[in-house]
Amino acid sequence: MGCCCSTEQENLSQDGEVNERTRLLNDPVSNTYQVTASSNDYGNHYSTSATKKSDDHSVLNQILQHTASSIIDVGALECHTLEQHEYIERVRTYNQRVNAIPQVKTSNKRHHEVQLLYDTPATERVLSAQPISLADFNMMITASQKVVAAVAQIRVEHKEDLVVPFGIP
Amino acid sequence: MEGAHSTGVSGVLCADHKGLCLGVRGKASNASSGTVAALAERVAMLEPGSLDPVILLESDNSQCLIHRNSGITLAVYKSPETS
Repeated sequence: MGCCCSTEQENLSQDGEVNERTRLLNDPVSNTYQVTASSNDYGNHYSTSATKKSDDHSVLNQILQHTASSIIDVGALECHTLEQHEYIERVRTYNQRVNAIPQVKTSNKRHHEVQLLYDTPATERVLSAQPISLADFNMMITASQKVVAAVAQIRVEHKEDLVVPFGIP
Repeated sequence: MEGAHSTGVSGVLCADHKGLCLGVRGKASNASSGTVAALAERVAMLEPGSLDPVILLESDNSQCLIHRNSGITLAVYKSPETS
């Protein structure tokens, strides 16, 4: 965790090498003379115009160097012409890979419309089949009525007493 | 239960309102009593106020009819009619 304030002395690096304690920003409250800030703030053009020009030149050179090192010249690259047989081979390979993926039948509907049961073939035949035959329906009704009647007739037969007094004198 | 055996029934199961298996015959398993009772209860909520429906579960080679009456759920397993 970071530390906002502590009584420990700051262990600045002795050698001036960069470690985790080196300042990234200039100390704003210190009294050290800051060359770059003062010359920009006070606009002292007369004495610093020459230095400013050289600064601009160096900055420009830096930008040019950076661009030159990171530029990719497409026109100068080797052109990879595809031989005819290689082209045909690649077409065949790609088609094989595409066909190997299981196809999802998407109709012309928009992408976000919900499509239910799209993987069931002949959905209309399944859904329009007769739901339940009348004989089965009637059989269930009568059977369940018989079951209810039978359950209602469950009785407890009292044969013996559960609690038996022992003859302890 | 014995009367239903004549019409191609392969199994019968009875469950009470809490899913306790009251009786099982044939290929029905008493482990499915809770599922059958819960299914009947849920399906009855589809049309509140109407009579308890008869549920038909169909697969390729068998059917399962479920009906709840006065809290007792009856499940009948059938093979499809060959005639």
